[in-house]
Amino acid sequence: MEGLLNYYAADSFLHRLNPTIKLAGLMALVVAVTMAFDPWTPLAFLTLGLFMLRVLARVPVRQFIRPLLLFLVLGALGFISANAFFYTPLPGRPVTILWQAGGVRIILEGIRVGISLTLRMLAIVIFSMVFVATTDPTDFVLSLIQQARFPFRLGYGILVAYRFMPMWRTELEIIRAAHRIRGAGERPTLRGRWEQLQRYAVPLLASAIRKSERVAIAMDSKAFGALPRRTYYRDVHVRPMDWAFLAGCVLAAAAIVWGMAQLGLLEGYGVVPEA
Amino acid sequence: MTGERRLGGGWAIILAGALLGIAAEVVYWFASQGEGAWVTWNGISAVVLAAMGVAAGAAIASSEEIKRWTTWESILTAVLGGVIGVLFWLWGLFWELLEFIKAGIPGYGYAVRDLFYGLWFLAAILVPYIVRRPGAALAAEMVGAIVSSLLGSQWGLTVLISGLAQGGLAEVVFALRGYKHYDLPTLIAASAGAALGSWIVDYTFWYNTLEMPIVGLMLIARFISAAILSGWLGKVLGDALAATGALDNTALGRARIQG
Amino acid sequence: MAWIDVRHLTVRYPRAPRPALQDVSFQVERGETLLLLGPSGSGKSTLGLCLAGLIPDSVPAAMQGEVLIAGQDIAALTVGQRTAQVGIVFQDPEAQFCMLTVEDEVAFGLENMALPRDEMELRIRESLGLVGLEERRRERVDRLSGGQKQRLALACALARRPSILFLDEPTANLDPAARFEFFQWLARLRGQQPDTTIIIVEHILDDLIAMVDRVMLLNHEGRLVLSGAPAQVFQANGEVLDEMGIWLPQVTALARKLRAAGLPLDRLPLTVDEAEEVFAGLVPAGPLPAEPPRRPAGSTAGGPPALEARRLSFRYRAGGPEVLRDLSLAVPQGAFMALVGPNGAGKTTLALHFVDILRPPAGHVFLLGEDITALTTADITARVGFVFQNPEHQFVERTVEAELAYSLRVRRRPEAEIAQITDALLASFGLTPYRKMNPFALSQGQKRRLSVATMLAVGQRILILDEPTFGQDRNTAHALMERLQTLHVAGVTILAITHDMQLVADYAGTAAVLVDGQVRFQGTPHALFADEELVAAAELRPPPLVELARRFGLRYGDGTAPLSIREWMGLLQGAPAAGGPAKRG
Repeated sequence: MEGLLNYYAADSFLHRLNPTIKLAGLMALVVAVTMAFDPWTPLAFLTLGLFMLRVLARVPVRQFIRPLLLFLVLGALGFISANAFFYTPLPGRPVTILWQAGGVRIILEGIRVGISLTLRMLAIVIFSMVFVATTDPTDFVLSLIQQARFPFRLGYGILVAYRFMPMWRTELEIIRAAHRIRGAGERPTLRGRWEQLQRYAVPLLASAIRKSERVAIAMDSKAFGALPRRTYYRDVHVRPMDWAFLAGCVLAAAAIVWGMAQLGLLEGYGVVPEA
Repeated sequence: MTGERRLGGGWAIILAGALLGIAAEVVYWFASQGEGAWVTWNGISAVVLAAMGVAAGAAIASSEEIKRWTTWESILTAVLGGVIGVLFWLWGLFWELLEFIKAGIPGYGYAVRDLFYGLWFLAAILVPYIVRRPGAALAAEMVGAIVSSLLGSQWGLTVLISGLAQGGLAEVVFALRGYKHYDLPTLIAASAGAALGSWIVDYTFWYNTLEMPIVGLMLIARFISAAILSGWLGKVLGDALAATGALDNTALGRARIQG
Repeated sequence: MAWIDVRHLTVRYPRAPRPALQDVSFQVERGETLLLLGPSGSGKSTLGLCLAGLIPDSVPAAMQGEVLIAGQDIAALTVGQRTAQVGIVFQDPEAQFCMLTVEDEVAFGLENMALPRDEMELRIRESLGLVGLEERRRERVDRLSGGQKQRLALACALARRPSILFLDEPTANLDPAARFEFFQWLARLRGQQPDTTIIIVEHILDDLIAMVDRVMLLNHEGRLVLSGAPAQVFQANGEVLDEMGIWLPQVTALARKLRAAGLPLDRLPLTVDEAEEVFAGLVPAGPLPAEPPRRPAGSTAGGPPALEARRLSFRYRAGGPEVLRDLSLAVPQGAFMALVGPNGAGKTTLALHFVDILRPPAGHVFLLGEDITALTTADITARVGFVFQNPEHQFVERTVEAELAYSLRVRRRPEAEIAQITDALLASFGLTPYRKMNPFALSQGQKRRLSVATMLAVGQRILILDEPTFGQDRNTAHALMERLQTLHVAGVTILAITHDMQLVADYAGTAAVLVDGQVRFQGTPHALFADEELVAAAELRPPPLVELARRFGLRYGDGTAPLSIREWMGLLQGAPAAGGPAKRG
């Protein structure tokens, strides 16, 4: 899990928001876009997302999109092809069959839904990028602990895990090199990969376990969790503008849905347009 | 002495999960009544709701339990959740190949990809197998989800919801076994719980427009995959690690000495 | 009243065959600096964990006896109170931190004490100032060098204002220059905070011994066997120290040997300054030989170099920095070469080219005269063994004997032959009692021996080792070096990447210095240490005897200085017993 996206340090409205509340707002948008099945509603959400990313967060979009491009294209193909063949039409809705042979058929509405799902995927990816790019990992974890009542030992554990991540990649590379020197080659077959997984997992995980033990002792030596109360050097505040953002997200979602419904474009949300 | 019987960790999780699941069902059923209702009630939605409710309940009750863990247990859980993610990277090209299959073979391609999906639940099995405390499955999955969302992955924020559902349902299985039994059938059952959780979230977000046979096939593929790539593999790796002596101070290590 | 009072402390870990500490009793005065010595496994770290109150709560172990700090039994204190008194600096720079930035890390310990923010701010600035890291407050911890990380660990401990500092092998994983720097900061700290009691566990004592008030020695059973001022302890207990493989400061070890040879010395010097006084009357009047005694540098006659790189350039990824720049190096057959240089100079990268892990273009890397790109992996692994820094990375089997047999099985040798070779290797590396054990469960020293043994199973004649003595105690390091020496004498070519100056000075016949991806020097260790600028660029520290030679003006005809105990013994024993200092210009 390489860092495909990363925290992009800048000073923008979104960067200054409380991470947990920002997350809640963005999740509301993610859930909202999930409930529509026409192509227009997710497109509207996607536009909102791009606006947030480019304008509110001041993040250059292109460098973030590129690593994901392959996945997005394949995802789109998957949705469209699967729904073209296997779409379950809503009861009472017209079904336009474009092609049929034997038991196999291609449904126009399926393709349409496939497009809708693709746009939904893009919208969700954009909203996720907004979060990752504007949130410092330490602030996020501290906010989870302070605002979301996340167990604090586990929270600091996340910071340790995050710190260690680049190290495991390097260590795995070293282990692979070491095994190659022993003469334990790597076969690119499925079976080979299965063997490799078992062979590399043990030294890597053993190393992780030992390091964790040492870090835990070091943390305990600094009285981690020893006192019933602890203070925080980095304070992660909740300000009125955080709540405003959350409200804004919910209102924006509602506005888009209502607007699309008014325009007669919305499908899903229990709304079935007139035939 | 008026002993106030505190609810044991396992029972708290089961109870909280059940209550939340029932509450979700009731609310949804009411929302599906009447003309112009926004939502439809059917068998699938019932299962989805119940499972999400149970997972959420497990999460809330677990987080109380996790506050009681020691530093070592917390750090170990978090770090293992992260490291296991690195193992996936090993299979990098292979995942890409699977993505091509998924895109290339309409519908059934998803089921083929799902035959390898089980690896995502490895943390939810291996960590509880080692640590053996209430909340371990959920903690491992949530940490994996949070770290992967911070590092940036293609699933973005939905990975947080998946982690919750996967970890929560696996947690319920361990809770039902009283957190005392970690034999292979229990691990496989927990992996099935995680598979169900992942399926439910993916169904809700991506796959609820597809025909039941396809979607059902995906679920079966996930069950099989989970049993092998997390249930069984979790035990194998856990035992191999314990043999190295690195786990002597953990619950697994202690259990091996006695057993 | 003694500040620390330990009474009959016995600690036993669960499932351990014997206690880690047995009936240890001692006292430490406030402000004392105490050096704790002992072979690995002698319970030194355990003692630190007990003082800090981490045993038995955080680290499960059965503890008997009492530990009193400032007159109070720590068992009666809460965990918070106990950990407030002792600040620990651990050995591994990679595994002591939990936060991402420097100031967050220092703040961490203060947050746990529930201090208000302005107090935290004050202490962060103060403690970072004490270790010279104020400029790096906002930096990410993983961007610091090893030495800076250990200084950060020290700052974190200091910020909590403990009365006692316990430093558990803080420089074990650092290169010589970083080690020296760390001790300089520590010395400065002692001056600024004279009331802080310091207990330090270390193996390489040369740069440290000047600060030490008292020395304590634990044996491998965890018993306290010696205690006293350094000069006295070293003076009176030579056999005990030798037996346990304790490495004295180089000048002290030399003085002991001279005494044993009958030369009169009024005391044992601990530092170079003291040695300058003590040896003044012994320095030879006559001229030194033209050259230092040579060690065999490998026969080049009648054979291509064992390993050779010709004009090799390499970068890890396109657009990245060039790690190796037009580098040329030839390792003659039968040589014992040490490859040194600062971190990131490209030493490991170069070594990985020699075993085709990193693939060079054709015509740049040669193995026994053949282009490596023309050889198969089987050919290469049959000729060269590569021992990684962390032995665990190379283990592929579940038992020690399977591990040794692995390379042979992969080559499908007959079982009878495999059994014979395996038994021979087990015996010669002292691993026979462990043959059925899981390799990961061995001790550090045993793992290292096993990893070297596996690399010789197929009869490899070239051995490359990446930091073979890294993070080990002197006893294990010495044993390994002796083994390598035996192999060398039997004709095996050895290339060792190392920061260990003892290794370079006492064992290596040749040294190659890599700086910034290029070979800056190739020659004898003597020539290397004679070049001060080179030594600084390579982030090395010459053995103390080199400094002593400089002060006495002792030079061989070729300008190099005597750097090993053996050489000095030879020089000083041949000198007139009396007479004024015979300094040479």
